[in-house]
Amino acid sequence: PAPIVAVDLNKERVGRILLMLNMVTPDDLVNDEEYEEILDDIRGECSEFGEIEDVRVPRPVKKDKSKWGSNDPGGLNAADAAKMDEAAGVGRVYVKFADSDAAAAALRSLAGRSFAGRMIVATLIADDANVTPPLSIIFN
Amino acid sequence: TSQEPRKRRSRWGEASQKVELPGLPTAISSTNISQAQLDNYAIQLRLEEINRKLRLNDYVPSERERSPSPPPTYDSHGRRTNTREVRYKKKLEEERVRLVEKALQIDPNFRPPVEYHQQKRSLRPQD
Repeated sequence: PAPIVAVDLNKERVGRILLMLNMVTPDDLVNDEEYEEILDDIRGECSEFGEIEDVRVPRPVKKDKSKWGSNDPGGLNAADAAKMDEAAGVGRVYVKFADSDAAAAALRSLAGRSFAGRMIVATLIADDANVTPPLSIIFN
Repeated sequence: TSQEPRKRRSRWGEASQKVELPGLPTAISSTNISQAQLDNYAIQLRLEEINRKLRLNDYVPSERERSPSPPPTYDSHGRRTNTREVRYKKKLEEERVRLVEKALQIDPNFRPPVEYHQQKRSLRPQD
């Protein structure tokens, strides 16, 4: 597979969707209040770079922690829940800007910034990019 | 009188305090990069970040970012066992174990940081 390399914004055709990794963990997204705060923080900072069309932070499926590791058919087991979360892109943050210039400016500034003590890894994707999870699932 | 909502602090760190990890760029290209590769890279970078924090003893969040402290606990010699330092350090060490396990699932050839092995031994329940 191709190695991970720094983006060259001058050479690469880039998109208007900013994808950020290592920013939130599934645990941060369970509590409704905390989740809203996180969305607010993201919107607040990202709006500095231009108009935002959409922000998506996929949340983990509900699971009953007391049933973790048990085979109770009523509870979702941890492995299945983790698979569903992965397919839904939990742990990622997607910000769709109105245009790719704003997204590029956000990438320059936000990549490497810390969010709740975690260093942000960021990349840009185009609306029609063939990625997993598919953008049609993220921005449904 | 109406109660003012408590003003909360944003989770964003200062732009002036960006840190770079050698060999691990944060503004990356996603051309021809799979989801698994991206996720794996994020794990790698987080592991490096945790190693760095632990090495520099830089793991206690600033005053305003801290969560309320739990009641103190003590060992049999009367020493406090859950100071802020101990709690945040333990949190990062436990995260490191989970990340290494995840990375090994994705790539059996993954080589965990040396600190991981030492720490895994010390995390085992002791009598």
